[in-house]
This record gives sequence, C-alpha cells and structure tokens, in this order.
Amino acid sequence: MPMTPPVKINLASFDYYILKLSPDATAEQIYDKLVHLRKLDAFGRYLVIEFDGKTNPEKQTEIIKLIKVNAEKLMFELKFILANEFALMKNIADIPVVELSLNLKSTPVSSPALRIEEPIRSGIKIENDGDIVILNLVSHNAEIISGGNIHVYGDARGRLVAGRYGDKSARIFVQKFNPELISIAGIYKALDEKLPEHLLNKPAQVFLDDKDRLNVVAL
Amino acid sequence: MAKIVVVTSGKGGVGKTTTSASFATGLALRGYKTVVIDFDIGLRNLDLIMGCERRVVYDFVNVISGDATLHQALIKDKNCDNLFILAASQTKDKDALSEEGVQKVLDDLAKDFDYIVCDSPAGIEKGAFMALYFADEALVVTNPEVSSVRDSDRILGILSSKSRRAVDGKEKVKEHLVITRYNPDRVEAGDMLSIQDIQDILRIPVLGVIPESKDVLQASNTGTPAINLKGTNVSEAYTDLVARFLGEDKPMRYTTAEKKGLLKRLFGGN
Repeated sequence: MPMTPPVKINLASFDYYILKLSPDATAEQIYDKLVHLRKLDAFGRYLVIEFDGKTNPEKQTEIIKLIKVNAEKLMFELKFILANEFALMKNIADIPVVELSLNLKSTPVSSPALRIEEPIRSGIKIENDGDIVILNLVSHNAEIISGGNIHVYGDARGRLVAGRYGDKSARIFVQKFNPELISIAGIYKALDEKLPEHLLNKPAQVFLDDKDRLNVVAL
Repeated sequence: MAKIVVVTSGKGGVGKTTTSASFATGLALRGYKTVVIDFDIGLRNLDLIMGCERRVVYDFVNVISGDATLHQALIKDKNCDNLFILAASQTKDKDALSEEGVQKVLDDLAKDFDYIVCDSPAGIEKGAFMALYFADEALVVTNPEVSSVRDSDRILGILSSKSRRAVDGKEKVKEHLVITRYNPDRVEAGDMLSIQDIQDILRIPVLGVIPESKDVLQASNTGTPAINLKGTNVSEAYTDLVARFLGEDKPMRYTTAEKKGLLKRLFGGN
C-alpha cells in the first residue's frame, strides 16, 4: 500500500515535519513513516503529529506514546499535535494539542530532485523521494524509482517507477521511449510487446487519467 | 606509477584472456614494462594462451598468502623482455583473493611496471570484482550478440558504482569497448549486431574491433598471443588497438563486408 508522503511546514525559523496519521495506524506503519522522514532530512528535529478523522482519546494517547518512544530513538523532537475540531484534550502524553483550524500553511515535503548525467547501466537502481532527472541512457534492467516525476533525456529502456508513495499526479517524461516497465503510484504496466511506431524511441509522457489508467502519449 | 587496466566482460568465452594476452604483449612490444595477471583462480587459462604453462611454479595466490615472493612468481615471457605473467592458481578457489592481499601485490608491482593488465574471470563474483576493483582503465570485451552486450552493460554499471575509484569518489574508471569475433559479412546479413548497434546500447568509445578468425583458435592452441601471428588480420587489429590505447589515431579496419567479385561469388572461398 502506498504511503502518503510526509508534509513539511515552516513555522518561525524552524521546519517542522507533520506526521499524518489515520486513527487505525499500526506501530509498524508509524515507525516506517518516522524512518522515512529521517531519511528525507538528516537534521530535521521537529515533528508535528496530525490526526485524520475522529480518534478516541485512549487510542490517541496510545499512538502518541508509541511515536514518542520511536521518535526519541530516531532523534526527533515532538513539538505539538495537530488535531481536528474533535480533539478533546489539551495535551496528550505530555505533548500540547493545537487545533487544526489554526490553518498552518503546509506544503508537501519537496525532496530535492536528483540529477544524473552518467548512463544508468543494467542492474543499477536509482531511488529518490523527489523527482529524478537523467540526462543519459537508462539501460535494460536498470530501475529508476521516484517519489515524484521522472525525466529521461536519453534512451529509456529500463524500468521507470514514478510516484512511489502514491502520488497519482506524478508523470514520466521520456525523450526516447522504449521502457520495459512503467508505473505511477503503484499502477504498472510491463511493455513486453513492440510499441507502436509513433511511440517507439519517440518523446512521450506517461500519466494516470481520472480512472487510474496509465496513458502513454507522444509529446 | 603503473596504470592498472582490467580486461573484463561479464559473459564467459568472449575473448577476455585472448585480449589480455595480446593487449599486454602489444604494450610490451611498444616498450612498456607490462605484467599481466590471471584473476581466474581455479580455472587458469592465461598461462596456456601465453605458452608458459609448464613454467608456472608459484602463482598469484602463493604470493598473496606469502608462500612465495613476487620475484619467484613472475614469469618472464619467452618472446618479449618487457612482459611478465602472474599465473592464477589451479588448485585454490576465488576466496583466496582478499582485498588487502590483492592491493599489496598490485602496489608492489606498481613500483616496477608501467602497465598492470588484470585478466578478469567471467561473472560478477569475487574474482571478477577483485580484478576490476583497483582498475584505472577498463577494456570491456563484448561479442556482437545481445546477451554479451547486456552483460557488458552490467559490468559497466559495476565499474561505475563499485570500483575503488567510484567508492573513493575519484575520477571514474576510463572505459573502452573491445568488440571481438566481429564478422562484417554476418552483420550485413543481419545475423550479428553491428558496431553501431552495440554502441547504441553501451555508449562507450570503441577501442578496437577484432575480426572473427580461425587464427585465434590456432594461437590459443599453440600458446602464442594472437598479436604475435604476424600478417594475420587479428594481429593487425590488436596492434591497432594497442596504438589507439596509447593515444594514436588509427582508422578501424576489417569492419566492412568485403565486396565479392563475380569469380569469388561463383567459386566461393573466404
């Protein structure tokens, strides 16, 4: 199941990471998210927790305690908890609760794009949470895995996976289209048959339409 | 400081050892003090191709384990004063190659030699990895067929990510493509990939194209590096390859199909 990407907000002079949680998040999911956040920013120390939907107070307390333990292990400082209007408490497990209607300006964490100028050879895997821009060829059996968009300005012959965390708006842009596999937000297609003439080795883009179908369109 | 050149391919049987032997001989003939090392521990072949099989007393593994000195293990080539061979062990396996051990041997050799040519085994296991790890330059040997080219692509990926230069963040290993067993007639007939097709996949400069020839087999069987079979097109092609490696500008030869005249078409012949 794709994770929602973490969100970063800017308050005063600090960057805070918001951890969005569904009321039924499991311990593993929470830990995975924290680890992921840690990878995004080795220096980010502040964490804000946001609850989606209604959560009963005991469950909230339980989850927060769990996060607290894990966050300390990963050297995050829990600053406050963002809760929706149904938040019942002033603090949970000694962490202050702030109303969501505070209307904090939040933006998805924009991981920096990764630019690569060398050829991506067979058997090499390139991963980045932000966009990936490749100015060279992507060989057969090479894998490009991005949290955002993928741009390939050489021949694209390997596997191209965009929107790995479930971003359905992610797209793949290719100068010479001939990949083995394309995927956006977990929806994939292996291209094992010869591509039509108007796409094969031509500039093309891949995107998801409103019915979550992969579309390949010549550029 | 010696330059370390690995001859590698990924796939087996494409001509790594033949190329190593001829390339090292070619460098030595041009006056460079050269040593060629067989990294194929357990399946040694280089000494056969170089015709010094019966002179192997101590080998590479003996030197690494300290049972013999380099001086004892280096075999001087019978034809060329500048050329030495360090044979592989036939009785040990590839685990005998430790990173520190190989580094020590290469460091010692670097004091005396201009070029150290490492003949890699096939595959991407330890022997192949050790052969390429210390390389400054690489000759990637490939045949004009899809699986060989694909394996070469994989090896190029390993060179650019796992070699010492890549790990240390230094200037990348200089890559050269060597196409062996090239047969222009079969390329024209569509049975073989062309130089253009191969370059389109690998995108590295071609250092040499070695034609398919019966002479290579004969060279192996008689223990003579193919470059020493004077007058053959294989020998000429390897001589050109060495010259290009040393920075000379040589046009590619034996890469276009011969136009057959009427008589030849009538009476066949090759």
